[in-house]
Amino acid sequence: MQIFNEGRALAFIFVTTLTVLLYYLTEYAKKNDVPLRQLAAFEAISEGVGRCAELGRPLVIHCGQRNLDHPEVAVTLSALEILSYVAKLCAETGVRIIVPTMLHTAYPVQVERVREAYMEAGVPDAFNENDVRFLSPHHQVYATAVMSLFERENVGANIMVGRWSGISMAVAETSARLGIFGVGGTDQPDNMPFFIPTMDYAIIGEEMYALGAYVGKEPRDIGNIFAKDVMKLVVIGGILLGVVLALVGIPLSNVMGI
Amino acid sequence: MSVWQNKIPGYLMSAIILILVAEFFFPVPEVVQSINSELQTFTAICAAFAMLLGSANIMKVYGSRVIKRSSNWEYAVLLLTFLFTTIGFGLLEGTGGTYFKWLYNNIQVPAAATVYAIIGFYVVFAAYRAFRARTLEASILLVTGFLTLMWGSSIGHVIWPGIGQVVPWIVDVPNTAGFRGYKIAVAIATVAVGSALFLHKQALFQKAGSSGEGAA
Repeated sequence: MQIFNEGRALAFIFVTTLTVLLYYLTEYAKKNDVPLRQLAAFEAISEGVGRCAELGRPLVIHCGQRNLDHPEVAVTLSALEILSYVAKLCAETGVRIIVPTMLHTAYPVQVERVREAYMEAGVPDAFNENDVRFLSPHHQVYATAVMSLFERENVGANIMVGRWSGISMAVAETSARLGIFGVGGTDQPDNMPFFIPTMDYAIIGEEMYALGAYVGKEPRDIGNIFAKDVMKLVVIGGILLGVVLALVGIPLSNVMGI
Repeated sequence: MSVWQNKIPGYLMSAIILILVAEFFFPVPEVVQSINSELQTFTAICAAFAMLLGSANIMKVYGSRVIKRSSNWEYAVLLLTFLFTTIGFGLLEGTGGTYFKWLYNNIQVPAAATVYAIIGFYVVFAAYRAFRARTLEASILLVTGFLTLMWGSSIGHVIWPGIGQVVPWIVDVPNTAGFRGYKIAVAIATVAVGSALFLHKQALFQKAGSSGEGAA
């Protein structure tokens, strides 16, 4: 009798191990102090908000181009965590936050996240629902609208997190040309080169997810980062084992039957 | 957080994750496959309703701009006119209709293509900034970028025939190694987000910055 679909056994073991680790390390983080290294992007976000507060300019934050009904939703969820954090910082410091979006499924979530941040900061009346704007689901239309928004609203900082397509280049470059402080982050290697030269700080790959958890600093989030780090060590160990076995003439693929 | 806002959606999501993941890993009975198919249909319906919300937001934001005669309100009139015209033709004759297709093919497609074409210029501007050798990392980027550029053009092979061996090595060895490290880390993080959702250890249903514990 076949238990697993063909070639899925190893993936199942991997996912199950990570889930169990996540559960136990979150419990561990509840009872113990787990130190986290400083993330440069975290400081950069605070710097961007501070700059906007000093200059009296608004801050723009985008959550990428992957809708909540897309298989690659994980990166958008991390971007939403960052949005919550940034919105709270803005509400506390009196900085106007503008959230343009092309994600129709995430739009109501973004509105609620910003509203809740203002409520938590104790300034619910300062929240302007019209500042969370659904511009267009179309990439090029969105890029054009955002580029004009930068110029029209005299934006002080631009934070682009999530997964992007080629239009990120146009948006990020316009932001750099206007001297807007920029923080860009994506988990997609194809888009990373667009953010490196155009943004003041770039959040590279897995840091996007780490930052999403880092901003919360709850045991839940720390456990998440901890579990990912342990799994990375396991994968590195697996790669080293594979290299050694391959050097002695036993390819790991033969051992595992893959 | 109330039971309805937090616990019920959380349990519902865990159940749905289990059903979807089961089909990926195990040979499941036909009934589970049909449930998965239905769930995907529900997703499409929910997404369509969310699009209505988005359109309502556009009307609200730009409508208020017209009413208040804010700066550049004329553009808002133009936007709303096109929005209602397109929706109108779409409702009257469907997405395959003559006028709807005319609007799409003769306005949206060329305008989008124009914007996309501009990206080429932005890439050049950004490359100029990236290729300034201010640090060691930027210098390495400059050298590899220059070599790759020369390799891609025929003159590079004339100037230095060895470029045909060097650049493929850069692409296949250091570049692929870095790329795989990047992808593996992202894959682990993606699975961790899924696992956190399954275990209700993700802030999806919680207030911004509030404690996630006790969410489940």
